[in-house]
Amino acid sequence: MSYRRFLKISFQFLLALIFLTKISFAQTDSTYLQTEEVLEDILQEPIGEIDDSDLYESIEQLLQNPINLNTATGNELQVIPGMDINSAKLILDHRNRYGNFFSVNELNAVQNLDKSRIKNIKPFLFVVKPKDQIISEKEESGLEKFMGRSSILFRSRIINALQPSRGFLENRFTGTKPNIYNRLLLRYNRQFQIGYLAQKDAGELRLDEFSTYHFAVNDFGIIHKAVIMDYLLEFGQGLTFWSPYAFSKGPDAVYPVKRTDHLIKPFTSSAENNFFRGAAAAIKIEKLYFSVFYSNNSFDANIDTVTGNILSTPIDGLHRTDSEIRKRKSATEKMWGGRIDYVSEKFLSLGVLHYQSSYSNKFEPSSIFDITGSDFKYTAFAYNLYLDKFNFSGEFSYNGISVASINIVQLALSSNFTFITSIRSYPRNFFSFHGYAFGERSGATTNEFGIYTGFRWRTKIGLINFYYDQFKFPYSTFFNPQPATGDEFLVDFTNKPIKKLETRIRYKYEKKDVPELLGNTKQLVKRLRQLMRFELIYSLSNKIRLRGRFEYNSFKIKSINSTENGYLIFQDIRVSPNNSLNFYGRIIFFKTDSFNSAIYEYENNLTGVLTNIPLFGEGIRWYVLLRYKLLNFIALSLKYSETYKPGVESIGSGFNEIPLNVSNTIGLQLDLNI
Amino acid sequence: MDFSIFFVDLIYEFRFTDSINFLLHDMQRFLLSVILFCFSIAAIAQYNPGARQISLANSDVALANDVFTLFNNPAGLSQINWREVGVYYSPAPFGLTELANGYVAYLEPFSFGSIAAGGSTYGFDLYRESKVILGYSYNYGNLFFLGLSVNYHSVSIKNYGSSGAFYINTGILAYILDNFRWGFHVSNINRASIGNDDDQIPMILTTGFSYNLLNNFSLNFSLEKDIRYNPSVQFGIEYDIIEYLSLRIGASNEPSRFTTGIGINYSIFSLDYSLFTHPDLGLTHQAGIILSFGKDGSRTEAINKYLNLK
Repeated sequence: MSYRRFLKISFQFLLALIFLTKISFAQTDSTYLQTEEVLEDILQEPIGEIDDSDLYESIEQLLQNPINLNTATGNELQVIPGMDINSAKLILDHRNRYGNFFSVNELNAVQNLDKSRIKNIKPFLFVVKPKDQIISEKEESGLEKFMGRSSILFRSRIINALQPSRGFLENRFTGTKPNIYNRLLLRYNRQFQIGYLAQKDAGELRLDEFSTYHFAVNDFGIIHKAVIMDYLLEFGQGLTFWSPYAFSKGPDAVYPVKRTDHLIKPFTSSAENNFFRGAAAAIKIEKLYFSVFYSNNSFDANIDTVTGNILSTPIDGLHRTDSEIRKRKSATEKMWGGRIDYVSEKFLSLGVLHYQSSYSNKFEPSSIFDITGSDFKYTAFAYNLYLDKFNFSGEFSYNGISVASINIVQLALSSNFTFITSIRSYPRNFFSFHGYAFGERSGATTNEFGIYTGFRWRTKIGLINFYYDQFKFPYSTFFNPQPATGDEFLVDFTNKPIKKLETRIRYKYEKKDVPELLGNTKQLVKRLRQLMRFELIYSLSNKIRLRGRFEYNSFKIKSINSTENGYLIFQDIRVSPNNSLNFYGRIIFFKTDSFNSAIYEYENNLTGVLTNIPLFGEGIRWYVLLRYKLLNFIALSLKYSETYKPGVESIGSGFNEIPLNVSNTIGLQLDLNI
Repeated sequence: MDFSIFFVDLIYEFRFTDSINFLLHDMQRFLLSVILFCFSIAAIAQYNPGARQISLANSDVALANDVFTLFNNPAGLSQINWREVGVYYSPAPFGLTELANGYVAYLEPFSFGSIAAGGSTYGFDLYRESKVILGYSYNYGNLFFLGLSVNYHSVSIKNYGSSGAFYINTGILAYILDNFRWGFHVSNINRASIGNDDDQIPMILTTGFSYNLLNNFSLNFSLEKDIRYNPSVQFGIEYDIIEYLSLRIGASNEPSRFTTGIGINYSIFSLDYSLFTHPDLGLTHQAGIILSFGKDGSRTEAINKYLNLK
């Protein structure tokens, strides 16, 4: 199906729907600003360059499916970013004492609940209108009622780099330049959802190079959750199953450490790998939840032509060149399993899970440290226990060879102080394909031992976040010739000296063993990385916000006399003159000695796109982002960005290299919300 | 990484190379330096007492409120207006009996300030370090505390004699708020050393804060700089969950340590136990006991009452 035809059909389809539907105001504009701010808060530490991240999806999904403030349990509340045990407890206490909330704004009346936090959690919550209003709704005709309760969300996006990269110039890419994304979600009554997503990366040929669809059910009869077709599983603390991304160590010292799982999630992201295709369902019988799941999904793999073994499993989802296309969905995983959860609302929840998976091809070990075979079995156990001010949680996962574990203790001393510590132990011979656990390396669940301690403390002079993490990779690996160790700490201090001015100071210290070529042998050397950041946020009024940042990064390896520094300065403005218009602009100057001292910069982008770019070398980057709500149900966004590096002849590397010193990207997005 | 075996080997090696034309005297001096050098590395396994301080990752320079503060920051001694005796023993750190160390301390409050005396021993029959210490602390208006201690530190190596040195430590503790303290301590202010090499007794500066978030919950931070090593950031939390039980946790870098411990307080006894990890040496544990005569209620309560804090 050509793109033009697709557009035409979808346009007709949408027109028909617009005329049929009563327009609702499901998504307000503050939601948009909120996602941005929540992400900015949690995600400031670099986790690498990520676009279209599932992380963004997960927050957006939460915003679109808010939690009922009057029925939520403590665990459910903790799914909200920035909500800690303490706040959840305060809210529940208030509800138990004074009865149901009349509106989300009543949170302001909850005693001891931090006011600045309320602003951040409000968009994730909703309150069902009192009964009399529901009765009046019943007088509507059947069709109107149906339409009033259903919503349609359509998103279409095109991102295009203006300068062709090497892959195009040398005709290595089979497809066209723009990156195109289309997603349609149909919802009814917060209970049913149908979703379809089609996406093509730059250089790919077909519009639906990657496509995913699902039918999801929520709280219907005894069905707690069910998904047919594409879904994700989450269990315990992420050793066995988790979404392909999760928050890791960052300026919030407490929130990212303990996970609260979603059981089953429909898959709505364009991260092309690591999801399940089949069916999953959970039923609820009193305090017990029974879940089963089955999946038969193909994934990208490099297969040895002689032995037929899997050499590697690239997860970037790029299918631009012939060789990239060859590995497309070349191996299959069949997976089935089930879990039982016991959830006692007040203080205890327990879960056990078992699953088996068999792969169409065997894994070829490239070294003695790698996985082998094609059949795997996992059994896992997770717990979460509240005792007075303490919360104990953790997970143990057994793969038939060894047990990986993570255990967390949280102490919520008062509404101003939360302390957390966690011990993780992931043995060298434990591998988890679908896990994404807390740790030093993003998600890896193997060969790591670590102890994390941190606290979040709201003082009279400001908010202090502090953590200290020490970690060890006890066995040598393909990359590390010897066992490696490291530790890091972070202090983040945010305060508001004047009502409209917020200042942030951050210092991060990381000392770590890294492999380095000394003479002819690869050896471990100590690398010291220090990061300092100063930031000012000034809200001129609720319409204009200014932000300035200075960040300094130093990188030192004593044993090879290598010292590198880098810094970044930016100035940022956000203008939202009215509810329908948002404007962002930012200009960044950066200078670093090399890629080692690169500074990651999280920037605003089209809704649903997460950008955390490493800036290195010397140059300027700027962007403007405009979001305009044409009508109540149509929003248009546009982003134009430029990176200019005066001293270089090309930008980027590999197929993405542009033989110029400037690179521009333009993105356009349409959101329909009916 | 067994230091003891390494240095026993060293001793034997040198004893049997006597035929080499070394004068015995020079040889001894040389050997002493070598061994001391080895022990300055091994000394990373040696931390100031007691078990409570270790479970807070030694971040207690501004907490300094039990008898063992004689070793950590003598200024804190005059916060305590009762008699106290403490014994701390670590029989085999990291499973090495050769690194065994023990400390005792005694505190007597007087109207002109508090006086404390103590001693320590470290090592085994071939190599031993011992220390005698006398400390005095002056209380200025219940807000400002000044401390001074005199140490005699000696090292003896079997068959090669012994050597010793005097050194002075000094410290200050200040109450900025009723629940917020600042403390600092300089160890070996006169830069004494043993043998012919400098800095065999390290000069150490420690500075830090301590904050009582609640009366039963204190948060401690300190920064320690040993003249020979990189600065170490230390933090510790003490939570007296009930009157009889204290929970402690801490961490420090350089070397990276994670520490935890409990204290059982009953009658005049405080029994403390601590555990900590060292990146290279692994996990170890130690215990101590403190006897307090005439203390009313919990330690924090008794001190708050004495200093008229709220």
